[in-house]
Amino acid sequence: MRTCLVVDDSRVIRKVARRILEEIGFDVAEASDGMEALAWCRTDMPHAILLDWNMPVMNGLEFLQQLRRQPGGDAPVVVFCTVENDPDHIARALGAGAAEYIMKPFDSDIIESKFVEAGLL
Amino acid sequence: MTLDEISVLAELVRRRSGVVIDRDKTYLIETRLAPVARREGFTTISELIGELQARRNETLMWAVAKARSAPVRIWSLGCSTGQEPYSLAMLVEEERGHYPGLKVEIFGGDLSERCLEKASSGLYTQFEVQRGLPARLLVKYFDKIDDAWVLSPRIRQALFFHPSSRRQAA
Repeated sequence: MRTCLVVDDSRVIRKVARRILEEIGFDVAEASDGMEALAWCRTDMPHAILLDWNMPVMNGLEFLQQLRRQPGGDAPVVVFCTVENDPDHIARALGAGAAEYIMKPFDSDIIESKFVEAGLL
Repeated sequence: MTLDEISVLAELVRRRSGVVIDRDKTYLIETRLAPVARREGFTTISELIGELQARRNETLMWAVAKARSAPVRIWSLGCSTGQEPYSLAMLVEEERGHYPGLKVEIFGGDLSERCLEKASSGLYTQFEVQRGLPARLLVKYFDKIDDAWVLSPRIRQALFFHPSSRRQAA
């Protein structure tokens, strides 16, 4: 089964995302900031990453930039999932190599639709 | 058919005709569409649905290529609040480079004038722009005004909305 790493500092968001992602057929792993997510990726590169922007220690954009410099780090399909909802943030995320962008609040339809756009479903 | 496919079809029927298919009446879809699927050479209704979804954009660009210098007119009937005609307008804009001199006019028609009003405003909520629209096209063709997303003038100018009901009544 394919793995999706959920990176968000909110335990509640991680829980909601996990439920939705498991329903659409992913194994889910969790990290609460970019640094933790990088450590996870170095051990076991996931197929997809659902990524928050604002987090302590290392934010989502920094994580994505670092991830793409890791060996094998260009493989995961990254979908941002954040409260940042202005065109400038979206353009920066796509420019850094994100495949899709979800603006919170989200529901299962939005996650599913965005994962289809990203070629994950 | 999966539950997802049933709800896609039920939603399509509701939007296009106003007919609501209850969950316990899904046999209606089965009995009506199974012969259509067979006639068109598909073994299941699911295959037919997949093919229809994949083919829409292809068919449009085929028509565009055929038309050469003549203008292509597309009529999106039952366009509800405009998602389909605007998607087609964005597709045409994306492909424009391959078809120099291309002229496309897109008409959106719906029985509901309230829907058409919303469609012609080109205004969508954050929730609406996240269903079936790639983020790449969102930042390319929409502007953000307060909490709403509005389609850029170059997309809106290719579209005309028409209240199909008023014409029939006149």
